Amino acid sequence: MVKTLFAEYLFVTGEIVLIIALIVFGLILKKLLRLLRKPSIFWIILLASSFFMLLAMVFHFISISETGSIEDPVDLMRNLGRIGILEGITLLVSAVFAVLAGGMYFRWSHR
Amino acid sequence: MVFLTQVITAGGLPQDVQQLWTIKTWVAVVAAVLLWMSFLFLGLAAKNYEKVLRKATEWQFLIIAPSGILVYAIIQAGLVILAGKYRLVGFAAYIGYGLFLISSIITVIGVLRFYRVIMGKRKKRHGEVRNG
Repeated sequence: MVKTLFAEYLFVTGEIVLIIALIVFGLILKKLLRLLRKPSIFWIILLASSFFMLLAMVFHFISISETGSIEDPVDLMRNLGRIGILEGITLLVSAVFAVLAGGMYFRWSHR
Repeated sequence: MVFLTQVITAGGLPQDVQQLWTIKTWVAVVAAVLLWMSFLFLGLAAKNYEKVLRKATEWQFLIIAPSGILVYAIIQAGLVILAGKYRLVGFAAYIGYGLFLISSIITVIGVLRFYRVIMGKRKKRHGEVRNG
């Protein structure tokens, strides 16, 4: 087991909480866009963001529970790095969607 | 897998593996900064909402709450630059991931509060300006 496994679980729990925050953020945006008379369909972007966050959480969970081959730690690190890339990309897509939705609303509300 | 901690922190990994971990770490840092920005936008939107509709949204709380996500990104970036660590380990892991979790919890509380305000489910506080 990785020494800091408990700390890794803190991160996974944080991601779960952020998924809830992103869904509620989406519901807020849905309501606020109606007030601005803009298409409220844009709140779906935040739902997509929470979905990608969920994927990132799954990849992170896989990377911390990966046992791999102890005989070949370099190969294990290579595999963990590949899973890490997938985790990073899904996290980035989630963040890009969230910042797009938030930024778009902020721009509209400022006009 | 105790060795894994040592492998992650120590150098000597093949070039391709180092590249994988470097890309993974920087992508995660950028993602964390963007996530922080998105909740910052929500805080600023709450500020506008309060200004226009005269309903207390506690937007300051929403702006400060996601700071832990930014601190996590700074710690992660700092460890890569200064110590060459691809993953938070040891004490830094508890600080970085702990702050990430605390910040996420505070953020979801702030977001839920704002949601209750815009849905009109929140009790009016003493001194709050009544809307229409």
